[in-house]
Amino acid sequence: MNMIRFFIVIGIGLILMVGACKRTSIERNGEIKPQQSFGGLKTSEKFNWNTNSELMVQFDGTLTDPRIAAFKILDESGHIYYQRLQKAKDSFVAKVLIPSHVQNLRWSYAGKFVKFNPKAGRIVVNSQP
Amino acid sequence: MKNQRIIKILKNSLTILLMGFALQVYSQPVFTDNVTDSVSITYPSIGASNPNFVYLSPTSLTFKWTSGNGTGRIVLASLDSTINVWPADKAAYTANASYGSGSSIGNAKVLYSGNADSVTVTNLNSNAKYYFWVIEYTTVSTFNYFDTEFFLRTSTYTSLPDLDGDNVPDIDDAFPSDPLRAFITNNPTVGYGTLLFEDLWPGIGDYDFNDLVIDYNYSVVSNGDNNVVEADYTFVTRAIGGDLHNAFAFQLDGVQADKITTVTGTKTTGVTWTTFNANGTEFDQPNHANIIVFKDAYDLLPTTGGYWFVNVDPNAPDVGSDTTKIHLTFIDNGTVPAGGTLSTSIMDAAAFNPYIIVNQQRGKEIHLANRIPSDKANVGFFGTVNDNSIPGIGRYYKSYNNLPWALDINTSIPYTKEKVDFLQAYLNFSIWAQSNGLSNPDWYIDMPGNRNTSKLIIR
Repeated sequence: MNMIRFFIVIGIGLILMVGACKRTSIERNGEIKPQQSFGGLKTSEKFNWNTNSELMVQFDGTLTDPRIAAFKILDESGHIYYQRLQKAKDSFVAKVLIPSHVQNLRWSYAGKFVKFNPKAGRIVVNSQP
Repeated sequence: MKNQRIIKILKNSLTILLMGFALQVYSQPVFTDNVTDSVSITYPSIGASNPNFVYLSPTSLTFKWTSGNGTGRIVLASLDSTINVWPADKAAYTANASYGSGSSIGNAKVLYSGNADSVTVTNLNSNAKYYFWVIEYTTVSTFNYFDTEFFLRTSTYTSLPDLDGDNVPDIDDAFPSDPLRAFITNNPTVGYGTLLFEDLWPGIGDYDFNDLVIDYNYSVVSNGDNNVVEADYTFVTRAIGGDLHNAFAFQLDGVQADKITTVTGTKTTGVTWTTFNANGTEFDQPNHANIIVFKDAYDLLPTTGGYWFVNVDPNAPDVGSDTTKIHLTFIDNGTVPAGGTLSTSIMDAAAFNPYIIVNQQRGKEIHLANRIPSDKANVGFFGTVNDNSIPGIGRYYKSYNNLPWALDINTSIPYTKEKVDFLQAYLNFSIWAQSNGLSNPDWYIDMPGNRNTSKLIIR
């Protein structure tokens, strides 16, 4: 009788373990398994389904610099993702949306160009030559 | 032998010493200044201060200062690098405010010499850095003696050419001869993006994301004050994969309706379920401007050949697409609307909030995940059926499994055939979604392995 109870408990445990494995789409080694139906997707509550990623831009002004020039964020083809007229003595912070497949960008200000990877999520701009 | 060597070295040293003395005597100036020998010089003890620049053009500026206590002062300037030499006492320098025309002192040019407190400098390079020194001097018997202890050092930049005077250099100005316009920012930067909707919210549909398919592109024109002047929106309605007669609209989050002067180009004739302000925005939207783009997708793309839907069955006739162009005027030829100007920092890319109005039932809106509804949305739908919107925490239009009812792709993509699950067509979408966007962020790009084209409508 005890043996029967033992095997029942073991059996239920095995069923629960298999069920738990089936519930997750992420295997124990961290590899994500493709799903076949949209309704079966398991995502984080924080996931926003956006094909753009946010880039925080911080422009640090220099009080003694009187220059006024256009600040731009561009890709390698010259497509402009963000631009504004900016006094070098002023600072600003902006949130810019960048397509998630874009990897190489640069910012420009008054003839200065600096390359960066938007995956960093944040850039600090020093406009001084 | 050793003594002879020492004597020889001493002889040579004496010879060198005598030659050096002779050379020194020979090199003395012919003119001898008896004045300096007999008059003591009182150098200025207060240097110039408070530099200030007035920029007249990319190549000219007025340099002002507060003078010190010299009898006069000399102004020097150099290009790109700081001044590296001092003027010499008693030397005669020619000053000229046209940069480069006066005397040179090392790398500096003499711009001015006299007792004024400003000089207007011309002939500068545009977009260049210049260093300026103001050095006080004491004049004694026509000779100037320069104060090298207390003097003014400063630098400045010249600007780039700006034809229309809007402070935006011509090289950056999309409208170099129009002072009212300066920049055009396109979104997406090239081509179109695609909006894909499921329209059974708050219930779940078949996830083919083709109930309404619309490509979009918009451009925002701003001026030298970084205020929005106008915006042009283009919407290309491509497919209708549902039988509901949905309207399409967009909200500008954070932009109040009175910031807009006029809206033109909407296709809302005969609409009975809402009303409009005089400027063309939707009435009774107190917090955000809402633009109804069209009232019924089936007005734009009618069904043909006995098919229920439009452009989602590969066997059905291609109905084509409809293009709707909306123009928003914010500042009308320099005239600001009643609500004042609108900064581009408010109307950024994140302000565009497109949505459908399900079957023209005004309160039933479907937005992208986590985008805020308009003030006309019926919040009674939230939390019903499969919807798990929780306004209190900013969660909107997501199911209990975090699934959305709409997708915004930043480039134009083909949509699925009717009843084909989106994951069957876009093979890496599920990896992207389940990795929270970290893996396969380019799932929508036309690259090997990304698409099963047999599941897509490609025309």
